[in-house]
Amino acid sequence: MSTGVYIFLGVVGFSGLALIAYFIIIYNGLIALRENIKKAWGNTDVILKQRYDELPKLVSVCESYARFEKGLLTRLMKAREHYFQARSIGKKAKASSEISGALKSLFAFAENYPDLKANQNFMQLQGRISHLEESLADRREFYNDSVNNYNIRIQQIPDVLIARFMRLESQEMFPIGDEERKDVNVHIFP
Amino acid sequence: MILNPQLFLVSLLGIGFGGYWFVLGFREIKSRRIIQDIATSRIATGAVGTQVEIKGKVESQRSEKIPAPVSGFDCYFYSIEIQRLVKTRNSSYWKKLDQFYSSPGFFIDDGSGARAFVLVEGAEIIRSGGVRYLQSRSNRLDELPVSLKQALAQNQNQFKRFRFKNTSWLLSQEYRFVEWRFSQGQKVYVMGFADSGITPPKRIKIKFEQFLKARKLIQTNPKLQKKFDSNQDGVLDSGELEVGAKRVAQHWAVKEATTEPKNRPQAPRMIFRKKPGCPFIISDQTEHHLVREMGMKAGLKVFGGPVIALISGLYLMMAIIKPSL
Repeated sequence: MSTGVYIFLGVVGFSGLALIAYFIIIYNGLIALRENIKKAWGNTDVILKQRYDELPKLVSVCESYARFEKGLLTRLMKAREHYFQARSIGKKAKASSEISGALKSLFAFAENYPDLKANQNFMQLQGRISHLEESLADRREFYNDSVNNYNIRIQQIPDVLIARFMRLESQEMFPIGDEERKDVNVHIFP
Repeated sequence: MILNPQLFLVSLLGIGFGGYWFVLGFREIKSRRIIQDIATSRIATGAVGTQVEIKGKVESQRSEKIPAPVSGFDCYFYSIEIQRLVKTRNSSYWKKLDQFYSSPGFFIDDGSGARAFVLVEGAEIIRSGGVRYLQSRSNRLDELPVSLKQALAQNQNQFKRFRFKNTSWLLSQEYRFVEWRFSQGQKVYVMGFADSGITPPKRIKIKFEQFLKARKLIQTNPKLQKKFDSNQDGVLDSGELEVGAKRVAQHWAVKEATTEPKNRPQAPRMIFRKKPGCPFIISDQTEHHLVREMGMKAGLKVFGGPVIALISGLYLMMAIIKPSL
């Protein structure tokens, strides 16, 4: 065999090895990305569940104040019910947005009730829910980043070839809903 | 073709190094993809017990700055790597002997309201620059700067290969002390396995003053005397007193360590440490620069390695197989 053949065989051998190794890295990377999304969603759902569990306590504290807006409490409990019924990420995100919007309004209206505001239980619940909301915002950001990384990867060359082979599809983000964007209209009693 | 023994050895090494570089390049590609794929977490709310990526500013375990032993610059964390010059027939290189740090690690604050602690041991440090070094022969170690001598003396118990001792001129070897450091507020990127924060230990070493204070308290307090009178004979003997004083002092020590005074920084929420199989990277570069640099290095290794291995292999084939054909 000539030197050229040896060179050719060497190049082909290394290229073959490189291709196999690269394929394995891409395949494992895509699997890791998909699992990262599941993990990120799981961690977000934990916070959503914790907030869901706090809502009845908050409602019962507010209900003890006869004059408190009943409509707000009903809206909050309806949003909670929607979250309970939601199965997909998109529906849960929508229900979560409803809850956040209702909570924002509730805390804003509570400003009109100095007795309620001074109530120890209410203060504790408000602090706990605010903390959960902050955690939720961070986890949502992390989840969206993970989804974004995944969605970009499965559309890029050469990952797209393996993603198609694995039948991977784009994942849903956890968007901020319209309810959360709305400004709260607070009527302060004179 | 006549087989040159030296070139034969170099070719064999070339095949080995080429293959090694090839594998190393793919490892670098894998680490690069992990950096790209993991989203940045906030310390206060990020999930632990997994591979985590954070960005933040360096905070020291101590409150005061310390002078870096080689450069003399004030810093909050430094590392000194001790290297020895190894000479072979054809080349020479610096071999790492030992490494020590100013403290086991440093804190990172990302502004989320919680801090992470990074245990530096075993991490891959990627720095954009700022590495300083001092060179000395082992017969002239006493001429090193005082700060470096102090640091070497303080850490000599943990050295495995380096001996901090002047040797004779005849047996002397060339050493190099390589320093890198982090200053307060320096931005760093950390990616690695994160555990949850330190839980306070249940048993803490008690101070002798605390023991004396506890003994005095028991001697003056009839209620405590009754409590520690284990044989219930109405007399607190010296053994019972000692046991009682130790228990009281231990209680105080645990209470002191676990209560959080306003000026004491809170315990870290995450602890980064080396875990086998997980990349652990600390860098003062941005993620973007890090990824770009790693990509270039990986490319060089993945393509350069096979080229070296192929050239070396070809030489061997021509020298060994061809004459026999």
